[in-house]
Amino acid sequence: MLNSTILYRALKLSEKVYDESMYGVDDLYRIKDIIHSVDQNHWNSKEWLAKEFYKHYKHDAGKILVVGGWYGMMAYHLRQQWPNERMNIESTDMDPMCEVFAWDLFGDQDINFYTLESDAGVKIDISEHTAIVNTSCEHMEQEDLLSLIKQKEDRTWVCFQTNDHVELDCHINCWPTAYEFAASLGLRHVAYAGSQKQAGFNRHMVIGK
Amino acid sequence: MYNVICVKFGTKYDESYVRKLYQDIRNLTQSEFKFYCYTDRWTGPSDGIELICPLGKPTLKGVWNKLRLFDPTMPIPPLNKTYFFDLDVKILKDPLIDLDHWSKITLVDSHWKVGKLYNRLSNYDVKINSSVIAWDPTQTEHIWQHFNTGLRDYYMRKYVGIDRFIVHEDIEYNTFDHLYIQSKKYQPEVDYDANVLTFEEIDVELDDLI
Repeated sequence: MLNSTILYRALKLSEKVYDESMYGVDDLYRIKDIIHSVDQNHWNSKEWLAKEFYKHYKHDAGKILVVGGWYGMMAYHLRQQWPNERMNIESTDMDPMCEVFAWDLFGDQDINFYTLESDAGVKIDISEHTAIVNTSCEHMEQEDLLSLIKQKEDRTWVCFQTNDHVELDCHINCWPTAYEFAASLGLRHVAYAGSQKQAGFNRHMVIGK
Repeated sequence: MYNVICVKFGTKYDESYVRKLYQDIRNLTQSEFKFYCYTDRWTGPSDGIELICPLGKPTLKGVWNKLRLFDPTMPIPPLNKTYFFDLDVKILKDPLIDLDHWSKITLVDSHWKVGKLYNRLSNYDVKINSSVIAWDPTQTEHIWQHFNTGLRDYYMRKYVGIDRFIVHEDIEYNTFDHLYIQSKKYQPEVDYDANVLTFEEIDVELDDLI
């Protein structure tokens, strides 16, 4: 069930973007983007990841990095599964406005939002993270996903989602099935590979090490 | 010497469109030029056409590959003035004209787009099109640098294509003289001899370009 507080904050943020467009930064499309980020499809797919990963992780503490975190919805769902502050949750994105808007939407959730320099996409220090989460794999180069897996420690979990929605220009790394996606990642251990039907396409998820 | 370049990604247009474009320019121009095709697939003969393979990261789809033309790593001689043509244009007479100004890119003025619909803030519509582009490669690196940032993915969500990106990201441009272009859909009859006939918003077969 969508959280009414989050939806209300999204409405107020949209109003703020509109007001800004009148005399400041003119970017009305951000309103549509914010609305997309809190729609049922995204809510369902991110809640699915958090709940499924929770079954496998089996610890209350750790450090989770969300890559391609957009406006913070994925990090929010992780916090709902791990409310204890001993689970450190970070959410990053290359779009600098994602950090700004994430603080507005989820600033009370004990999540650290920050912007990743685009050139540093494959050079993040993930040596201390216990999990890497990425629900934006369809937007990313396969070589960058493989680079993350190669850089991580053996003990670090990966939870990756992609989809088969090839029609969009910004979807450059779609996969027809979860199993093919899982095979492409070359993980030592695949704990879960499955798909969720969404409006007009399928979302695929792989959890493993 | 001019660079002339086209882009062929995906399967909408096959190699015959590229060869036709090359032959028509070769037959009609008085200028020296070198012809390039930036493409993700090619199997047949390519006489006179220098093929450029995909440049790698970032992977782009569809029309966004046209922005790659401004990537300084695009292997075309940067000191040559450069023309781009869509594969669905018909060359009517010598298209390689020397422009008065080369410091900005030159695009087609879609002056036929009149009315309030095109001025709405929310659809980011524009009154230019990139069926034909002319530029000095030493002056346009900023276009690629503007696009190829952490906002790249956002731009591709926000804008339907590169025309809207160019205008609404405040990239400066000139437009071709109106007599250079005829739009098949919006100017079916004209009283001048255009250099290039464009087919925007029309599905084109190769026979339409003969």
